[in-house]
Parts: sequence; structure tokens; C-alpha cells
Amino acid sequence: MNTQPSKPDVWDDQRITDYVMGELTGDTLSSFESAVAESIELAEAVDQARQVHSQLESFYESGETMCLSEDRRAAVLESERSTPAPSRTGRKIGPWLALAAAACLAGIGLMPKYLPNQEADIAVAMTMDASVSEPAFSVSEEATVTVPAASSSSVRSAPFEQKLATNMPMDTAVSNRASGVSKEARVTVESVESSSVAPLMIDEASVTTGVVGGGGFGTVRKRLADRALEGSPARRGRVVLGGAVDEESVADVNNDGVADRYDREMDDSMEAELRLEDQTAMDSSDELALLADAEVAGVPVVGDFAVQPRTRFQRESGRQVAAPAAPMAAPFGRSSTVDVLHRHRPIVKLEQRAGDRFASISENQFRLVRDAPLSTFSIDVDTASYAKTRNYLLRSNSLPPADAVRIEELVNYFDYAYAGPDAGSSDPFAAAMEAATCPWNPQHRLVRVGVQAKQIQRDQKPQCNLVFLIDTSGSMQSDNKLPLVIEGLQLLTKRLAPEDRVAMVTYAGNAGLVLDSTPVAKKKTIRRALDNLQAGGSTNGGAGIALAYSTARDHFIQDGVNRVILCSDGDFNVGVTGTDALVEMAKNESAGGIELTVLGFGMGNHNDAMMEAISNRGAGNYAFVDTIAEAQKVLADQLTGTLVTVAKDVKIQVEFNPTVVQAYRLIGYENRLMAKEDFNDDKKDAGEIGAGHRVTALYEVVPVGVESDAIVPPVDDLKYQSAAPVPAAPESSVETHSKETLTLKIRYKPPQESKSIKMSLPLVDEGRAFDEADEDFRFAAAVASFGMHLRSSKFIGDWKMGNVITIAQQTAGERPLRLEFVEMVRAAMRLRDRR
Amino acid sequence: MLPSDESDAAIPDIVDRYQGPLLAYAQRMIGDAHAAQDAVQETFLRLCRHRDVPPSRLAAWLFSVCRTRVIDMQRKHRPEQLDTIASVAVAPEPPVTECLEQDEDRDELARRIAELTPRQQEVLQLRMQAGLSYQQIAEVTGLKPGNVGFHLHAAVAALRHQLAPKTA
Repeated sequence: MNTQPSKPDVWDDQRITDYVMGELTGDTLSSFESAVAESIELAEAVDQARQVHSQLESFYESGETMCLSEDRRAAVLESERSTPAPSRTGRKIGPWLALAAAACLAGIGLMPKYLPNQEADIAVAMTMDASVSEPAFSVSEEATVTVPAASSSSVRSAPFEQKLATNMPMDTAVSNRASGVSKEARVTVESVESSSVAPLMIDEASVTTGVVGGGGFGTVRKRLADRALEGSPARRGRVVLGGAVDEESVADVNNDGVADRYDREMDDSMEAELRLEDQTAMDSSDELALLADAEVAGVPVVGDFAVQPRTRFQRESGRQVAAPAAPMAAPFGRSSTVDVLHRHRPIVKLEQRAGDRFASISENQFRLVRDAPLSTFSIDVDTASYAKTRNYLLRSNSLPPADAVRIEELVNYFDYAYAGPDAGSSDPFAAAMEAATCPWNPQHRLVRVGVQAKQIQRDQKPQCNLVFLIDTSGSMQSDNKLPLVIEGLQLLTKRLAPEDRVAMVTYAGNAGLVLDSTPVAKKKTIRRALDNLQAGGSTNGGAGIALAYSTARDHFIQDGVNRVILCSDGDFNVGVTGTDALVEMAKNESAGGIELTVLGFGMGNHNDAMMEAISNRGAGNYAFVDTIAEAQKVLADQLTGTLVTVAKDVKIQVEFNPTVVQAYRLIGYENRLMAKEDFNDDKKDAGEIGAGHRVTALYEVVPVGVESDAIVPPVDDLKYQSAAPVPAAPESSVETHSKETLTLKIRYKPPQESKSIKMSLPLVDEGRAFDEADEDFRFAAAVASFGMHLRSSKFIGDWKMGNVITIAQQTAGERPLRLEFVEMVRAAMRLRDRR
Repeated sequence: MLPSDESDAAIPDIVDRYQGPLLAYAQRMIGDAHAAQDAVQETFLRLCRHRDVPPSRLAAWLFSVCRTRVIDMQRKHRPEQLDTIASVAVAPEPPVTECLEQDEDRDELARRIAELTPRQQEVLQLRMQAGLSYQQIAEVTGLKPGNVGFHLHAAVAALRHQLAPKTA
């Protein structure tokens, strides 16, 4: 998050606060919003003001609500009774009054955050006995909701608070805890009549109420739409239950919720993640300070960010050729200055530019459908590029090199709500498509292909035989490497079943089996082995991996998960192991039932290209772990996906309809492209997909009839061949399919089989505008366009990073990862402005 | 809005709804819990005699009556313990839900808020705690709405230096 003091002139703008407070309207609002989109300083200031606002909000709302003393309250009510109001008969409250009184429910008055200037101002009118107050519900957007104590001293409803969406990751995560709890505390209201009222989610409804009398809680008068509880996306609306509802309403709190003050069901992992992310963020600011100190003190800072001596590898038919920069890179990565800093703090900053190796990517161009109607690629569930990009932007304060940005991995990093295969289906995944206007080029269409693998519940997870192959060479010494490996593996082990087995092999100088295959039930043994890991010596990845595979074979579990998990910074600099040899080995072992997961730790001499090659050639999966939060995601939250492969050699082929589509461009997947013939060739490897994984691919499509500069001018028609590009198909068939934009075909193999299965699905574009597309679609588009920016794509047009932020903010909700994405875009904007 | 509607807003509801923010508001200004209780009680008693306050103006009405009461009382009643203003009114006890480590932040924030000008504190409290709009705050305080925004912005700008690094 941004900590840099903004320029004073920006902060002279009072609209910043007005905006954050929601007091800007109409033209003032729109002119300010466009100013924000234009100016990074202003956007930062708004962001900062938002943080302040949100902290103030929780500050003021978190306290115990003060109450008028009993005698004073009684005096007020007495006085009210003695001055009868002119007309009290307007409301049909009789039955409800009786009901409520019978139920003796505790009053729950939620303070509205911003009192609207309308009828809604007034809490619902219901006269009751003085000892019981009536519920008047009001939940406003982005509000902290407080339930003040009930009026009667004998009835006490403890305050609770819920921080709904704000733009701070911290608060966001807090609200995320809610899901479990909201199911418990059923505060339900059936219908909300007022048109000004939109369903809003009550994320965390852990409510404590006191009970007077044993009658239990009364009937629920109005049920909050279920979706409101489940987390409806309509979180911008304001709900005033009771207040704005035309009729009187009684919202009862079910007994279930009473004891659940706290998010008992809160996802502990989420909490951990939250805390850690926060921690991470702090580290990064410390880091900045430390770095600054180092510079002041005259310590030579190695690895200037502007100059990026990075090794480039160019892949040529599967082989890698080191470009001339390579020899220079290594010394930088090993600089002693860097190491000194490292010993004290987890600094990733200095080392990373030095030795990271990325294969170059040349962006996919538009292809004319008449020349190339088929687009074929291997799926990619890896997300390492995202974690790296984040590391560059948020920790190192530098723009990532273009080749580090693989757009498909950026897009695939996020969760999208795609439907998986039906419960009874034998398919390992389900696919769906959607088309809408392309945001960065409104003449074009954007097509999303979404693939969702089936979920495997933890208790259905097959038995696991895991071998951790841990690089303990000297380069692993930094805090973000070996210590993170140890923590990560501890997280992973916690999620395993007692009968699962883990073994541990280290490689540094001499490879060694530090822990023979041990049931997870023996927690202490495993823990001790992990704690004893130390970095030192150089790496012989080759010998280590051979030992790891042989250990896995020795304890092979039929129909189980047999997997070697390689934890390394990818620097196989000793021994004979080249990428190809390693990939070959992994492929052979995979055929024998032992899969490989490669976890990349740290940065510096991180051989991204090699790891990517392992994953790309169907030899295993690959993730990059830079923080404990990321370890949590990969090794705990998505553990089954990481371990259990549901389909392998998954290939996608899209056939475009030339009567609808003129040209198309696959966004990302550059290093996953396949020849069209490879689709049906079961000997050609492709990516694997794990349980619960999802894959998104985006195509930018130029419809027929659109004149687009983006399309490469077609070459002259061939003189000696027929000019007709469309294969002669039966008239009827063309007619039937003429509306379809494309047909999606997916081929995959079940994990243990060698023959592939094909699925296919047509897409008819319904002409949706971008705004009409679902939230996930828009968010994915924002991520993709951000990737295009980072790669300086020529296809991005006038689409600004500010636009990316706008879309991402609209669709981020309270999801911390998505909010973090917004931060990344901001950081990139700032860095680019500086350049 | 029909008069019958506004009179339907039952006093107990209004009390439940506004007592918290009114008490906090009064207490910050007067610095004495009992005096604040008196002021708020008096405010509600007045409401009983003025059942014709339109709902749209109710919040502003309550706070401005309360404010007048407090100012009246201050003339006779000197605030003795200024410290308690911050610690009692501005730093309410955190509920159990709060993480322990937030306590320090909270205290720090309370201190920083107490360092703001009285006007800024008042506007901030009316906005953040009572949830009033700029217009309503203007009615209560006699400021112009734009001026309310000015004070709020000054408060936010002053607080940002302390708050921002913590979340960064």
C-alpha cells in the first residue's frame, strides 16, 4: 500500500474527503472521478483518505454504545405518554406488537451510517412496553453496523460490528470472515418494499441478543432475501430494514445466532492470510526505509532497478539459448551486499532483478480467420507470473520486465465463480463461454472461455505419498526462501490426513534423505526434520531429484497421489541437470504415476524458464511462493488442486466461424500455443489440471464488417489456389451454424490413461455490452488489460491503467486478492509516471 | 411528508437510535458523563413536546438541541477533567471482537483525534459517529455545508500521516 506522502497541492483539494464521504454528486462527482483517473497523485490521496475514513469508521463504531440511564429514559418515556401525539393510528401494528411482545425479543437497532433525508430517517414506529424496544434495521453501504445495547437493563444485546466493504484489504478480509457466520445468525427479512432499498449482504451477522422470558424468539416477519445472506453482489445499495420499509417489520434474531458472537466458523486460513498479508505489507515498507538507509550510509546498492541486467533465454524449438547477458547476471545475484542485508530482513528487493531468468514472449497477433480458423493451445493453471509481478510492483517498487508477465497466469490467479461439472457427471471439468464488448476496443468483442475442474472434498482426497525435495544450497538462505519453505511445508502437512505420508530429501553438495517416508500422524518427527533444515553448500539438483523419485517409488500408493514436491529457487548450478534432462526425467516418472510439483521460492537466481518448461510440457505443476500468504494459498487452501490431478494433457482448440469473425487474438498463452494438428495427437503433451482449478482464456475477436487497424493487412490472394477460404460445407450446416461465433473443443486424458477424450461447445454471441457482462468477466478483462499494459502491448489502444483500476474496483468486492490487484495497478501507474 | 407519519416515530425508537451518538457528542463537548446524560435527556424531553419535527430534520434537530443544551450547561458548568473527554467519549471500550493489538492503535488514534481543533473534532464526530450528512452538520453547527467539508478534509488530512503508515 502506498505510504508515500502525497504532494501538498493534491491534498489541498477538499473534494478528496467529500468524495470519500460520499458527498459528491452529479457533475462534481463525475468531474472528480475523471480527475482521479487522470492523476495518480489524486488517486493515491483518495486511497489514503479512504483508509483514514475507514479507520475512523471502525474507531467510532467499535465502541460500546452509550445509553441513557434507566431513570432518565423512563422519564422521557413517561413524558411522551403524557403528551399524546396527535395521530398514532395510522399503522397496523397491532398483531406485530403483540407478537413481538410475546416473543420478548431484544431490540436490535442498527444505526444507519448516513441518515438519508427521507422517511427512512425514522425508525419504524411501534409502541411497545418500555422495557422492550423494537427492531429497526438499517444497514447502509460500506458501513460499520452497530447494534447498540437494548434499552432495558434486563435485556441486553451486546454490540457487534461488521465492517462491510471498504477499500482496505484489511477491512476487506475482515468482512470475508463472515461467510460461515452469516448462515448461523439468521437475521432474515423477506421483502423490502421501498424501491430505494436494494438487497445488501449482511456478511457477518453474529448477533448476541438477550432473552427476556423463555418463549423463544418470535416469527420472522420478513425474510431477508437469502441471497443477501449468501453474499449478494448488490452491495452498493442501501438497505434500511424497518426504517424505510413501508410496513412495520419485525426482524427476529434466531436463537442460532445468539451464542455465536464470534466467527467460530470463520475460515481460519483466511484470517491467517489476512494477518500475513498485512505483515507482508509492513515488511515492504520497512524494506523501503532500510534500503534508503543503506543508500545514505554509503553502502553500495547493487542491482540498480533502472538497469536490469537480466539474463534472457530464448526458446528455440524447446531448447534454451542463453543470450549474451547471462554471464554478467550471476555475480549480481550473489552480491555480498545483498546478502548482508538479507540476513537481517526479508529483502527481496535487491537481488531479484539480477539473476531471474525469463523466457522471452512475443505477443500473439491478430490472425485472420480465413487464414487460420483454428486456435490451439495447452491449458495453463500456473499462477507464478502473477506472484512475481506482484513482487516487482509492491515490494521492489519496479516495473516487471515484460517477459516476466504472462497474462494468462495473471488472469488465472484469481477465483472466478464458474460452475463445475454436475455432481453425477463423469467429466473432470466443465467449460463455459461468454462474449461481451471488448473494453479497450469497443469495436471488438471479448470472448471468455472458462474451465472449471471438479472439486474434491478433503475427505475424498486420495491417500498421499509426498516427497519433499528441498534445495538447501547457500542461495536458499534468505528469509524468503528456506524459512518460507519450512513454514509452507508445515502448512501443507497440517492439511494432510494422518495416514498420508511425507518424506524429505535435501540436496546441497550431497543429496540426503533427511526424513524417510513417515505417516503424517507422526507430527513431531516431521516437524523436527523440517526444523533441522539448514542452508549451505551448492546444489546438485540432479542427484537430489533421483533420490526423491526413488523414495516416492519405494512408498508408492496405488490409486493415490504420488508426488515429488521440489522446493527450490531453481538454481541448479551444480551437477549435470539441464532443463531438458530434468523435464525428461519428470515426464518419465509421471508416466509411472509419480507427479512433480515445483515450488519456486525467492527471487534472484530463479530459473523461471526452467520451471515453466517443466509445467508446460505436462511434467507437473509449478507455483511461485514469495510470501507466507502465497504459501497458504498454494499449499493449504488449494492443496487438493496442487496435489490431485483430475485431467492431464488438456488442450483447447477453438474454431472460429468466418461468417461471424474476421480475426481473433488469443490473449496470453504465448508459450502454450500448439500446432493445430497437435490437438488430436495424443502423443503431444499439454498442461494438467488439478481438482478445483479453473482456467480462463480470453480472445479478442474482430467481428466481420469491422475495419480494424489492429489486423495485419492480408497478403495478396494466392494466384494458383482457390480464393475461397471457407471450406465448402453443406449449405444447411452453414446456415445452422451461421450465428455461432466459434466452437470450443477440449481434449484431455484422465490422469491414468493415455487415450484422450474430446468435449465441444459452441458459442453464440448475444451482443452483450461490457457493462452487462458478469463481474468475473469484467475483472478478468481488467487483469488481462493490465498485463497488456505491463507488456506494452500495442493492442491496448487508449485504455489507461486508470480504466483498469475503475473496472477492478467495481468488481473486486471485498476480496483481498482482488483489492491487492488494485494496489498493484496503482503501483504500476506510479512507476510508469516516474519513468 | 404527512404529519401523521412523523408523529408515528415512537419516542422509544428515537431514543434507542440516537442516544448513543448524542451521548458521545455531548460528552465530548462537556467532558462529564452525568452532564451529558442530562443534556441528552433534556433533548429527548424537548422532542416529546415537539412531535412535529419532520423526520427528515429529526437528526439535525436532535443534535442542534443537544448542542444548545450543552452550551447552556457549559456556561454554568466548567469541564474539569479534560482527559476524560478523549478517553471516555472518543475512545469507547473496544468490544471483545477487536484484536488485542488494535488497542494501541486505537489509543493512538484517540490521541490524534484529541489533537484536532475542537471544530474538527465536532464535525468529525457528527459525521462518523452520528452519521449526519454535510447539510445536517451544517444545520447543527451553523457552518456552511462547504465549510463542513473543509473542516472534515482538514481533519482527514491531519490524520492521514498517522494512519496511513499503519496499513501500508
